Amino acid sequence: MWERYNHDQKYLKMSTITQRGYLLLADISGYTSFVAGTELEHSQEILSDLLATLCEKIESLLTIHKLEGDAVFAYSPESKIPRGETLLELIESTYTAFRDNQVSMKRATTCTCRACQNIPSLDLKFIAHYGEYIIQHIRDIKELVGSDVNLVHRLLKNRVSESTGWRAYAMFTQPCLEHMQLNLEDTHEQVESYEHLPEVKTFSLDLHKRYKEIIEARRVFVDKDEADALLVCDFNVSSPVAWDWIQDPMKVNQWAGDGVWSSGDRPKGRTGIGASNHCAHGDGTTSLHVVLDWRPFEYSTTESFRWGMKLNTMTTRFEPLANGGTRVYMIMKVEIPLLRPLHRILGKIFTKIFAKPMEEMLQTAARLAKEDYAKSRRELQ
Amino acid sequence: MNETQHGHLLLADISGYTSYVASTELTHSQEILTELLETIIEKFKSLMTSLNPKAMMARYF
Repeated sequence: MWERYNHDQKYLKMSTITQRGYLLLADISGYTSFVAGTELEHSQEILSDLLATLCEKIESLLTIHKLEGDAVFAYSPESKIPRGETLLELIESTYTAFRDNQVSMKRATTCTCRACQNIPSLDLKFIAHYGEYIIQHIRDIKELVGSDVNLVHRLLKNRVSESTGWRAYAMFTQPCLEHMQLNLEDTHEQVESYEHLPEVKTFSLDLHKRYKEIIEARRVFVDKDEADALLVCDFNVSSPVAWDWIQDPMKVNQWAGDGVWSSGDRPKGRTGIGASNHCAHGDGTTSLHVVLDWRPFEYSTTESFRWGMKLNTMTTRFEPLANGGTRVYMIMKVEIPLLRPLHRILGKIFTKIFAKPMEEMLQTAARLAKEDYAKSRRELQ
Repeated sequence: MNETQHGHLLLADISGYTSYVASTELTHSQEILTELLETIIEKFKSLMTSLNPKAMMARYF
């Protein structure tokens, strides 16, 4: 009787709440043959290094649930990633970091063992799903359970490579893309079905192609040396979270004064080079802000137009701090051709008139980001 | 720390898990599964190193 009571109390205390959110798996492909064909001491050092790169990137936005051999399993309540596109950007920037790390490891080694020679045979795929889960506690083990958790794992064994020949890809399930509110182009659509689970429509992006596009895109940024005005503000959150607060027009409306921001063009259904935002100002005019360079969580560069002319080019840079926070720099160059000779003076005028209110706005953004992040952490408990 | 070790590797796998979770209310089914898994761990730990989360993952496949 007493045992039964304790048992019930234990379950009550566990407060098993069904939660909803994103489930993400990053899986190193080629792992089994890599381990089987190489010296274990060497291969595991290489894999630890690659997995550490993955974790470092992923945990800036999601909670890492666990490592599963050759995969990282992470999740996040929906409320923590209101701008769904950030999840896509996280996947791409994680893949870029993985490939860069792989290349530098191969270059750095003079070792001729099979593990070191086979580094290029490893690649990466991502499976992203949205659904329900419960955090189950058994002993000291925390476990995510639910049919959607099972589904995202089953999706690791799919037919995308078979149909497309892609070695590295990011797969999004239909519920995931719907919650990200993205209408992506250039995806491979495929329905996958598994025993006991409902059929699921998936949309996959070729990451080799994306990596090539990312490294080949011309870098455009305003350097501090050529800046006419510079604003700096420290955010108490990771760079993907700070990025969200600066880039999402809906969030910008919460901190950027009386202008009303809205999304404009989204080439290929997403933010990138050529995408634009509008800002309707109090005086009835609208300014247009066009993206020239887009490097998620690192920097973005936009040019602004108002009254029919180009006003400025601005780079917003996100610098990770040792304490886990992010230093945000807004670096602006005046572009009005007739006034260009006066740019230093204009920069000073701008700094005098606008810098303080702008800095206050940025501080408001930093405060809201901190509060919002703290709230989502509480929901995670 | 990175030394290759040799030893027994044992997996206990609850069959029917995926269809059970798919066809039941999650809050209830996970309570029942928790209890079953606890029983297994209780028995295992007398002989083996306690299960780590990675080993528990085996039931997904």
